[in-house]
Parts: sequence; structure tokens; C-alpha cells
Amino acid sequence: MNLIRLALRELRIRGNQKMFSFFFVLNLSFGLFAFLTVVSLKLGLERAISEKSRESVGADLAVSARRDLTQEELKVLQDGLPKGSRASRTVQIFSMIRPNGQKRVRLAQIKGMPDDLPFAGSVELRVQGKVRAPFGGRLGQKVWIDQALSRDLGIERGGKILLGGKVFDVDDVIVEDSNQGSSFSAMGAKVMIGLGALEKTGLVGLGSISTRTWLAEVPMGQRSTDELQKLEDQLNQKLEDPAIRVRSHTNSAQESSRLFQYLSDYLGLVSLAALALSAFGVIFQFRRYLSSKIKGLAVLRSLGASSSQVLGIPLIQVLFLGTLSGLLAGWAAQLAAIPLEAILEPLSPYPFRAVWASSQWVLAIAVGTLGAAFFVIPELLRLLEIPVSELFRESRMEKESTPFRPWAYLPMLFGWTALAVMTARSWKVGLLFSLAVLFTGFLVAVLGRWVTRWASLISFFQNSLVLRIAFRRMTRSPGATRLAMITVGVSTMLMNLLPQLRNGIESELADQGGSGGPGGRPALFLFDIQDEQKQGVDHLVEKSGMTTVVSSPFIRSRLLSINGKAFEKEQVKNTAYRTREDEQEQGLRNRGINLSYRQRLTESETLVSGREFTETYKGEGPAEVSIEKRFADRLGLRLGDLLKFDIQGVDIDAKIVNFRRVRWSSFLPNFFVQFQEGVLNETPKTFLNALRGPEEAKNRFLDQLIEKFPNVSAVDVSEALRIFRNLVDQIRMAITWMAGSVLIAGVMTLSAMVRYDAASKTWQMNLFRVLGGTPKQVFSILALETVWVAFVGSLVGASLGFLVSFSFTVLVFEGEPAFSAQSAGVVISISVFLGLALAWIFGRGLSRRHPREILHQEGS
Amino acid sequence: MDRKERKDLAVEGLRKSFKTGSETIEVLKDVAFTAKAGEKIAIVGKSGSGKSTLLGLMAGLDRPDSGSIQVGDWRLDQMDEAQKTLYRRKSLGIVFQQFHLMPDLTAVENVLLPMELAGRADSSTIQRAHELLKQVGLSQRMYHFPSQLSGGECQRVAIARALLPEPELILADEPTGNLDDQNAKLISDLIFQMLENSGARGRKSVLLLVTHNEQLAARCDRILRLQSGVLSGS
Ligand SMILES: Nc1ncnc2c1ncn2[C@@H]1O[C@H](COP(=O)(O)OP(=O)(O)OP(=O)(O)O)[C@@H](O)[C@H]1O
Ligand SMILES: [Mg+2]
Repeated sequence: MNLIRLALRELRIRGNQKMFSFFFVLNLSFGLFAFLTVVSLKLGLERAISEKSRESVGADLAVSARRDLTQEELKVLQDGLPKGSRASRTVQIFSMIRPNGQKRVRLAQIKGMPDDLPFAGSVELRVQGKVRAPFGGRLGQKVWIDQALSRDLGIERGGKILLGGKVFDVDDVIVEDSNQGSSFSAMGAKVMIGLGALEKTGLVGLGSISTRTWLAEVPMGQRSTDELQKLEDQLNQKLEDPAIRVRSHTNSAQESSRLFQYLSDYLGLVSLAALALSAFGVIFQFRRYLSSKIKGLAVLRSLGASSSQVLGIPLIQVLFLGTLSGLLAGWAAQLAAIPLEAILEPLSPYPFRAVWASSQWVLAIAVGTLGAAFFVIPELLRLLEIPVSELFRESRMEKESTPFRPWAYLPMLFGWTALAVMTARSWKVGLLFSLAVLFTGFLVAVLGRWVTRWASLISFFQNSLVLRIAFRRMTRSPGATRLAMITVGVSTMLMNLLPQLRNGIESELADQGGSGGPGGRPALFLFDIQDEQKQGVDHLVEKSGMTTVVSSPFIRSRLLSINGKAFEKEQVKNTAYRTREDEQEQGLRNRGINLSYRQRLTESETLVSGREFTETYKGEGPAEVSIEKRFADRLGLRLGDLLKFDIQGVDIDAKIVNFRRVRWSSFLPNFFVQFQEGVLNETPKTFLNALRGPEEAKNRFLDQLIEKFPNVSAVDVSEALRIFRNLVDQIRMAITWMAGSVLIAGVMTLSAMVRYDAASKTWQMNLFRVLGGTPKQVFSILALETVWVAFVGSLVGASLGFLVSFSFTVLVFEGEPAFSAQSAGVVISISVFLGLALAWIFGRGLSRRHPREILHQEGS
Repeated sequence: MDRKERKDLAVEGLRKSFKTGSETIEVLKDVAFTAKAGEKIAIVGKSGSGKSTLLGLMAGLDRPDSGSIQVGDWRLDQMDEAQKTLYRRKSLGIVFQQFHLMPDLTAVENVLLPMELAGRADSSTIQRAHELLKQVGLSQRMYHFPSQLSGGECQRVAIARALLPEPELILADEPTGNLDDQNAKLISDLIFQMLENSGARGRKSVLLLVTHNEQLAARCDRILRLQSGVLSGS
């Protein structure tokens, strides 16, 4: 108790202690703040998912497929559900709709709802107000359209729309729908209609892109997450076809918010980096603090204080300041979550609010105190290793000369890596990230030392005293220089990594449905063109002044085996904690595979390895296939592997002859698996066409298309692109926010270092002036040191940013490395400029100090 | 000023006070003295009497409230900062009680530092720096850093540093205050001995030595006592 009082009183009383406390808390709480903010957003989303997922799916369990279930499969489903369950089927298709008597058309997602669905959730209608489940019965022959559609097409309640050649009354406009479905409906607006009415249009089954979903409700008391998970596993196992997906409402919500989760995972990592940078600052402050107190502590020891008593005081102080930082950071995180929430909400399929629960206070204080303790323990241990006799020598004590114990940093490292893995929800990403930061720190330290030594040798031959003194200082007491360089290096590395992060997330986004990008993209994208309609559509294209860029056959299949080994549907792992890798694996395996055939590559494809197709298939041996590179990587495919596909009931063998990279953003139809010509030409199929043409030709064409081929759907690329761009902008903002926090943490830490460095030099610089040095020379020495640290640190950091970015690309994102030398140059210049600015801010005072102080100063 | 009457060092009517809050401490009230080249003057006085303050004024580190300080051709009370810097480079050597060596420079580099700042570190100067270090008995320690030297050794380096430029004025503020008796004796012997030697080579320096040590003071040509802000001679 006495010790505690002593420790706290010391913090309160002495001036330089107050400064120490202030900067310690500032540094640590900022690092914690970014991390806590992300945690609070993530919890918010998690809570939204757990509260809303049932309403969002409209049932406990959803079984979806792109075809009708067979009698046997239906029976399996019936038998698999617990007694007292109910199940019913909805159908979703994409189709063009148009207000009766008008020319404007829009692609819409049409949902056919039977009378008894959904089992949960509600819709908010403009005129009729809130309608609770089940509301399918209210629809009948009428439709509800969503707000966007109502606005775009100018239809209200009482209007009429044309769907599949039939006219329907618009009964109301949906203002809000708890039934969200997939996360990004870039594909079109929504229309709800009675299932019977939809089936009568004849659109269902005509096109390929229709989804049937059996919604099931299990009896009360059997709806826990665990029970539903078990049910999901069992049904997935029994319904073998990978084209059939069984999902509990929780898992379904998890999947649809995946993109958002990736984003928040990465934001979390970046915030951890900010925490690491702050840690450097904290360690540095503490080291300086200790060295100012070392004599006092030595006196205590010589008076018979035990080592725990000696260490107790600074440790108690640090724990106290850690708690304070945690509280401050928690408070700031609550405030910051509000704007960040606004940035991120459009990316989330669910409306959510950042959550701040009492458990987060515990987290804040725990990370604050434990973090602070972990950071300073190595320094405290070093203190113990200085022999007491040494402490009494009036000559300077070289703290650097105490042995370096790397293991003392291990708890800090482990703790941080664990946080990184948890935050990224991925071993690979978390470890890679942690390693990248560690490696950068290490390399910056080693290279920085080495380069500085060489530079100091060169400066020796240069007849410049200022240069020589500056470099001599850096080589003689490298500790402070090293830490500052690491700070600059790690922040530069992270800044250079951010474009990579953005690219990764954007490509993830492109994979999920939307896609876009500049460069000769088509105006329209047609799908569901039936074999026998192809000629007619082509004719219509020509007549209306459009051109077909690419027309790709589209065939559904199942992958049966790889090199004779059965390719089975993976079970959803029954753990609460799933990693990114698990999710990716599942996403792939459970999907049916869409195929196409084509002899040559399109303009959006490049060959990565292997050879082009020989010629048209001659009917002997396995057919040749080309596989998209990322797809191949995920399934671990190699050139020459033999694949067996089930294509509409026929088994077909194929051999991989090449891998290709696809620029998905081209918006041209592309496929993971592409056959050579002559194998599938006779198979029943549909076509995907990409069209180009001027605006009025497009409108003319759409007008005719809906009349002549009501089942063919068209996506307006510019519309999809707009939605995509919006999402990308939101992501950019979120990442910029995080980049800002890294920058601030770095600058904060660096300025602490420069400030202390300047202060520690006061005496030396006074002496220098007494001996005839000018204030300008004094400033030059300090500026030279900071600029050198900033330059070398950022140069090494930027180079490593490139390396790390490259390895992330290869190991995680599987895209192109996004690194621009230009932005690296900018970051290096900024860093050098910052170094100069900090030297100016803190060095100005130093060179202006009055050198007469030297007469009353003790040497260091 | 009349050329013939010109002294090598002349201080007249020097006043210096410090303000701390509302209080004003009059440290130097009317200090005056002169010295000829080669003269060695001891300044004694109680702690807090203003000895260091006087040295600070003589070094151009501080500005007097009134009065004049002339060292050789320099009029310290009329010079700006840049000129004072030049004065310190060319005409001043200082030895402190706390040694005050640059910790990141070796012994010989420390000795050379003022000459380098003045841009006069040619090869003959470097040679002389080595010689001086040999004279103070540090021929084996030239490339050691201050942290590797004992207190007495540090002070010997500081003496060599003060002497190398053959300044017109050498200020020493209790140069033996931090040393044991044996080392103090060694250092004071060195100071006097080397001042003699340097006299033979060229300009003779004036030594202003602040000390509490009676024996050391007695070896000087004159002893001046600082009391109640006034300097009285003997
Ligand atoms: N910058 C300052 N501000 C206020 N008072 C000062 C300042 N410098 C010196 N003094 C005061 O002036 C007086 C003379 O100080 P000085 O250091 O010259 O004494 P000294 O004779 O060298 O003493 P000592 O023998 O202990 O070194 C002291 O009372 C001191 O407190
Ligand atoms: Mg004094």
C-alpha cells in the first residue's frame, strides 16, 4: 500500500514525471483507441447478425438450389427435419420489367412467395404500413415493388407493370424489408409476387438463373444455434449434390456479410499496427523515464530495497497509466465509432450500430494494463541487470551496454500475434501480418545500423564537423536511432501496404457479383438466352445498332473427381470460430461449376502457364480445359490434372492444359472452367452475351428485347458499375481512416522520440556553443539526425512494403501486386519532411537555449 | 581607447543582477580589474558570491546589465551573438568543474573541436593536439571516448582542449573541484606547467581561475576576492 502511494505521489508531483505520464497516456490510448473502435464495430455487426438473421432469412433453415429438388431429395428433406417442422418453397428469378405502356425497362429480382411464407420477418409498405410474416397470402396476383424501382420507373400503388408478357397490378411499394437476401443486389431491384402468379408467367425454368429456396421452420425449443447447426450438417450430408446448399439462418447471414467482415478484419489489423507503433513510443518514453530515475532507484537498492520493491514503483505507475489509457481510449472509441459506422453501414447487409458493452471496458483496461506491462517489462529487467556498483559511478551509464534479452519481448510479441490472428480470423493473414511487421522492424534495425555506419565512415572523409558529429552520435548510441528508424520503417511499410489491402478487398467484391472497371466495357450484359433464341437475339442486336462483344455458351455442371479422387461436398465446420480460409474453401466446394467453351482467349484473359488448346476436339481421350488461376490455386490443381465433370447427367473427362488469369473487371462473361470447342457444342445450354453500343441504341434494343424475348435478362452495366463504385468508395474511406490512424500513431511516437532526443542533447549542444559552435550548427546536427532516420527508415520500410505486398498477393489475395513506386516516393518524401518539421519544432528551442546553463549543469 | 594604455584584459563597472519572480538578486555590483598577458589570476569567494556568473560574462555567455569587458581587441559588451561566437572560437579556452567533453568524440577529437569550429584544424594543429595530449600524459588514451576515461583523465583532456587554440583568455571554474587530492594536484601542476610552455610558443594567455583551494590560489600571480558583488584585490 505504501509502495502504491509512493508511486502515485511521484507521478503527481514532479514536473518531468507529469510530462512522462502525459505522453505515455497519449501514446498508449491512441494505439488502443483505433483497435477498440474496430472491435466495437465488429461486435455491432455480430449483434445485428444474431438478432436479425432469422428475420432476414425468413425461416430457421434455407435449402437453396438452382434447380427443382427431385422427389427423393424432397423426401430426404422432409424426413430430415424434426417433427412438427414446416417447409415451403419460394422461387427467385431475374427478369426485365417495364411499366405497362412505357418504354423504360429495368432488370429486377423477382421473388415468388407462396401464401404461407415467410415464417419470420416483416415488410414495411408505403400505404399499408408494417406487414408481418406470413404475408405471401396478401400478394396473390398482385406485386409489391421496392422503392428504387418505384422511383426509377415512376410507378406507385395502383400502377401496372409488364412481367413476362403479362400485366400485373402494383399493390404497394416496399419501404423496408427485413428479408434481405444476398448482400449486393447490384443485379437489380426487387419485386415480390405471389408464387402461383409468377409460375404462370412461364419465366421460371426458362432461364437458368432462377433459384429455388425451401424455407423451413422447426418447432419452438429446437431453434438454438447449435441445434440448427447440427441440422444443417446432417442435411448437407444427405443432400449430396454440391448444387444444393443448406444453411441455418445464422450461417446464411454470416455468409452474406462476409465482405463486410473481411473489411473489418483488415481494419482491425491496421489498427493493431497502430497499436504496435504506439507501443514503440511507450517503450521509448519509459526507457527515458527510467534512465532519469536510475540513480534514485540505485540508491533505493543500495539501501536494501529488494528488486521487487525497486521494480514495484515504476510497475505500479505503468499499470496505473495503462488503466487510464484504457479508459480514455474506450471513451474516444465510442465517439469515433459514430462516423465510422456511417462509412461502413452501406457495406453491411444489415443495419447495425456500434456496440459498447461493459465487457469492452474490461477489454480496454485489460489491453491497456497488460499491454503497458508487457511493453515495459524488458526495460525493467534491464534495470535489474545493471550492477549497483556501476550505478554509483559518476561517469555516464551506458544503458545500451546492458545485455539485450530478446526473450523478454516474447510475451509482448505473442500477445500481439494472438490479437492479430484473432482480429484477422485467419492464421495465415494474422501470422503473415505479424511476421511482416516483425521482419520490417528487424530489417530496418539491421540495415539502418549498417547504412548509418557506412555513412559515418564516408562523413569522416568529408570535412564537415556537423556531419561527423551527427553520424558519430547515431553510431555510438544506436538505441534511440534504432527505435526511431523502426517506427518510421514500420509505418511506411504499412502505408505502402494499404493500396494492396484495398485491391484485395475490391477483388473480393468483384468476385461476389458486382464487377467493374474502366476500359471498353460493354453497355449491356444479357443472360439466359436459350439455345434456340440465340439467332433471334443476334438479329435484334444487329437491327438496333448494337454489337456483340462476346457471346459465351453457359453450361452447368458438377465436378465429380480430380485425378480419380472424388471431389466431395465439404461440411460446414461445426465450430463457433471459423477462419477466412474455411469460408473460402466451403464457398468453392459447395457451388456447382459453370462451364463454357471457346477456342481462344478473350481480350480480358491472359495465359499464365501451359499451352493454348490444340484444335477442335476430335472425340478421343480427355477433352482439353483451361482453368482460371485463382480457382486452380484454391483447389490445388496442377497442369495435366484429370478432371471428371457431370454435365447434365453425362460424365465427361477433361485434362488441364493451361491456366489463365482473368480481368474480372472487364465485365465480359468469364468462366473458371473453359472447354475447347467440339466437346460441349451439342449440350443444352444458354448464352451470355456482352453488348456494346450507344445509349439510344441500347434503349431501342431493350424495348424490343422485352417484347420478343421476355425471359432474357439484361444488366445495365453502368448501373451495376455505379453501385460497385459506391461500395469501393466506402471501402476507400474506411481504409483512409485507418491509414490516418497509423500515420498519427507513427508521428506521435516519432515526435516523442525527437523531443526526448533534443532534450537529452541540451547539455551537449550548450557545450558545443560555448566552444564556438553557432545555433545553426546545433540545429543542423539535430536536423541531420532526424532526417537521416526518416529517410533510411522510410526507404527500407517502403521497399519492404513492396515485398510484403507481393507476398500477400501470392499467399492471400491471389491478385496482382498493387504497389506504386510513385506513392512510395510520396511516402518517403512526406517522412523526410516530417523529420525536418519535427527537428524544427523541437530543435529550434534547443538551439535557442542559453548556453550559460552549462556553468550550472552536470555532464550527462 | 588610447593605444598605449590598452590592457590585455580590462573589466570596468560590471553589474549583473538576476530576476527571480518579483525579487532581484544583485550578484555583481561594481566589478573592475585588469590583467596583462601571461598573468594568472585566482578568483575566490563564498559559494553563491557570483564567481561563475563573472566567468559567464567573461565568456560572452551572458550580457552584463552595465559595464564593459575588453579581452584583447574584443569589446564583449558591444558585440552581437555572431561576434561572440567568433570570440569564443578564437580567443577563449574554458575548463569546467564537470569536465564537459562531447561524449561521442574521442579524446583527440575533443581537443581539436574548438579549432575545427574555427576552421583551423590543419595538420600542424592536429600534430599539436597529439603533443598536448602527450604532455598531459594521455598518449595511450588519444582514441578513447570520455566514458572510457577516469575523471582526472577527462579533465586533462579538457585542459588540452582549452590550451590548443592558444587563446587570449583561459577561464577555469573550479577545475579540481570534482577530483581527489592527488588528481587535483596533478591537474593544477599541469595547468601551470603548460601555461608556461604555451607562453614560449606564441601568445601568452590570461588565466582566470576560480577555486576554493587555497594552495592552488596561492600559486597564481594575484588573488581577487569576490564579496558582496565587489572584487577586491590583494
Ligand atoms: N540564471 C540565474 N537566475 C537566477 N539566479 C541566478 C542565476 N544564475 C546564478 N544565480 C544566482 O546568482 C548567485 C551567484 O551564483 P554563481 O553561480 O555565480 O555563484 P558561485 O560563486 O559560482 O557559487 P559556487 O561557488 O557555489 O559555484 C547565486 O545566488 C545564484 O543563485
Ligand atoms: Mg560556481
